[in-house]
Amino acid sequence: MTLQERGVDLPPERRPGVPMEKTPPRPLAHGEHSLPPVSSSLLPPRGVSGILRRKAYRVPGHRPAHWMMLLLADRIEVMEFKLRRLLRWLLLPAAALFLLRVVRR
Amino acid sequence: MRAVVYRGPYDVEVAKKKDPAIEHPADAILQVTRAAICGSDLHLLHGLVPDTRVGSTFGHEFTGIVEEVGPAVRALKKGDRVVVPFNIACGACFYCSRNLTACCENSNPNSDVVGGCFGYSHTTGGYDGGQAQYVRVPYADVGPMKIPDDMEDEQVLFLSDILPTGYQAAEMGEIKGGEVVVVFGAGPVGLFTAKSAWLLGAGRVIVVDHVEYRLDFARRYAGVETVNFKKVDDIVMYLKEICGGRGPDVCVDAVGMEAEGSTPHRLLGLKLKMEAGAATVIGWCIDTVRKGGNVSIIGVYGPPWNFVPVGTAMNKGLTLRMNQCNVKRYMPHLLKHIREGRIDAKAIITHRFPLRQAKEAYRIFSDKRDGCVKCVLLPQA
Ligand SMILES: [Zn+2]
Ligand SMILES: [Zn+2]
Repeated sequence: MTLQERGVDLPPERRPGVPMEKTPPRPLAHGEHSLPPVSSSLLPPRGVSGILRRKAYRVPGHRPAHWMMLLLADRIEVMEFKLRRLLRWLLLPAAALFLLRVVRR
Repeated sequence: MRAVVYRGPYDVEVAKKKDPAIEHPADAILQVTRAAICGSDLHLLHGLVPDTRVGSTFGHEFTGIVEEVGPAVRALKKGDRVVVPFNIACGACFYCSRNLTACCENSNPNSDVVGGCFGYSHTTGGYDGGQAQYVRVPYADVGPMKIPDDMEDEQVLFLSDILPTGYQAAEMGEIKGGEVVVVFGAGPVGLFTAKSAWLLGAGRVIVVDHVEYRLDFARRYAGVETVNFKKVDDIVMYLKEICGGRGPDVCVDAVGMEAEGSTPHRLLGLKLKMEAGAATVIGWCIDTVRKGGNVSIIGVYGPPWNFVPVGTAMNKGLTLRMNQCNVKRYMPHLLKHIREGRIDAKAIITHRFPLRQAKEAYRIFSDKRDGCVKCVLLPQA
């Protein structure tokens, strides 16, 4: 490919960007009235990971400890979740067995 | 409702979940009609974003139909079709009034670093995302843009993130006319960066990646030159050489924290967590761009730090610009480009799945299988 065959050297009808932009994007329309801050109430911290997360948020974000605690809490939460799921699975047959025994007696 | 739910690293499933409700007078609830999977969702999926809680729902690129509005909402009513920016912004604070909606100080009051986003961990506020049948949209008068009656959802879906993100990436490169622009990353954001670079007047646009089908796509879709960095000896030297020896005028990082191409960075960033992901591409940008050039970073990195050759940047007199995209600022402008046929945003969609197949969709997108460029979920299918 020679230089004349690409980019600005292409004839205008073959240039991918023609027409070139002359006007910048239109800024946000203003005049919004102030609104109070919003937040999410979903998935509040709980368990061991929750303790760690609350602790992490007491450390400002420019300190690595803040993020390290959060990443650690993430891993702990996954373990907590798996443990809870396992317990649910174990509890179900245990309850069934117990009921069976009660009925037989 | 049904929603994509995070269960831990590399594990999402579609599960039943409580319907979202109005929690604030300016909230709206949308019935989601389209929800895309974004490259940055993969950082969440791979457990790289701090405070990603089990049970959360991802998805920050969506369109929907207004189902319910809070008492303070004036601009929207039930039945309106809207596309929603990924930033949650109040529209009136110090930052919003300067068009920096990505930095809004009212949507994520817990953080000094980042504003609120949909479906992007509790680090960005803990809001659920749109990969669900319904989603809560705070500050409903500010973010959502009504979809013109004559346009389909998919034509404007990417105004939610990747199209403005790509555009802002090019804009931060301060292209004035005739510049040589190198875009690292041939994913959806890289494609839109390349398109936007042409629109802003670039003289030559080169896209770098290692996934061959994506480079093919970039050549067809954006009319760019491409380089597979795995097929050249030293990508920095190669790019300098094909850019007249000095290097390009502008380099754009459209890759972020999971970059291929450097074993030390992958080891330190992704395995040992000594840095927040692999900052390979920032290094390539700084090393490749000519002295006095511009580096634009739109790829996502986590906190708190990365290994970046800042001394080289200083000595070369570079301008480094970066930010999460301030989506709202670009929406009307880019809508016009779509309308007038200069950007066919919908054309990058290669895969559509009903919501219940989200797991499969994530897998194909994450593994870059089946020629996948962009995946869209249909929550009502
Ligand atoms: Zn996105
Ligand atoms: Zn704000």
